[in-house]
Amino acid sequence: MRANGIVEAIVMEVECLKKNIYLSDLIKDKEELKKMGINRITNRIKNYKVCFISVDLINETDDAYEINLNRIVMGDSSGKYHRIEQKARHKEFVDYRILHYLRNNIAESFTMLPHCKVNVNLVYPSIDDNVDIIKFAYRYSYSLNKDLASKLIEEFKIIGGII
Amino acid sequence: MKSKLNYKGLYFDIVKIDRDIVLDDLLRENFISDEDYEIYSPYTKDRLVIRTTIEIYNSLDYYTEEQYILLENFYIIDSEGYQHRATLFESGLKDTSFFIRKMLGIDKYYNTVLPHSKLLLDIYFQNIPQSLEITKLAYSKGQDYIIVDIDTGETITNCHLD
Repeated sequence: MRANGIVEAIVMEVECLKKNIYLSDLIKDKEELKKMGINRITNRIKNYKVCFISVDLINETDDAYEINLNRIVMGDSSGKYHRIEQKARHKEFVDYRILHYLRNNIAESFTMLPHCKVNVNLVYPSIDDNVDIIKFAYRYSYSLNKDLASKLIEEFKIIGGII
Repeated sequence: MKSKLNYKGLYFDIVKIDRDIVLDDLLRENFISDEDYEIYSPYTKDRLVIRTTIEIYNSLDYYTEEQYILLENFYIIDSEGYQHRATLFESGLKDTSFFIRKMLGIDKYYNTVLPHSKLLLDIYFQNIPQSLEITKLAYSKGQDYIIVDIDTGETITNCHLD
């Protein structure tokens, strides 16, 4: 799946999209965890149910663009938007490590170099079973207001591909 | 390696690229105490990194704030076109992360290189698959960037070159 969208210049190529799975299903290989500097996953984290997407962000232009992963929001078929799962980030370090790992050690904000790619893994909250993930959007304005739909956003749809 | 990267009067020369280094060994090389080693070893054991040794030379008669070296602005680009950012070894435990960085002598910022002086810098990246080559080095600040091909020395930039 391929969609144009972020800052009008970045292509988002979806490699993997998983709806409502347990975090523990994403992180099964203990050796791999160790390599990434994670040696412990709490039971609470294991039981997190999340939506997971692995994408390549591709800059096909001659310009550099700054991307903020927190601005990529997921839209479901009920019209709601969801931001990257981070409810535990400031409460427990272990949680943050896992999310950090899932982000391939990429900071929340980074520069997309011209004609380069970045693979990012994003974790979103689980959504109701009777709705689907239908689109992702890039928000240009940033605030803690939960009413994401009212913000200035550019949408690009993801059709099918839910594993 | 012919690569030479010029950013606002600073020249970045790649001296050496070491692949597949175990971070644990690097830390041991720095002769730290057993007690200190115990603090971070669970988070670093067997962790593979790429070390690039870069010499930075200030060709100007002065230095400016714009020349501050920000490690997070360094990237390597592999043969598949993926960019990889310099790592600060975040382990998730803030104190440990800081400790590792301190042990390796790296931090987010480096001081400005003095006029007509050189600074030798080791910059670490996450390991990339052995099947991929490291083809380019890049430095970027905001929308300014400069990319240099490691083999040919060819440079792509949108920065003003002094």
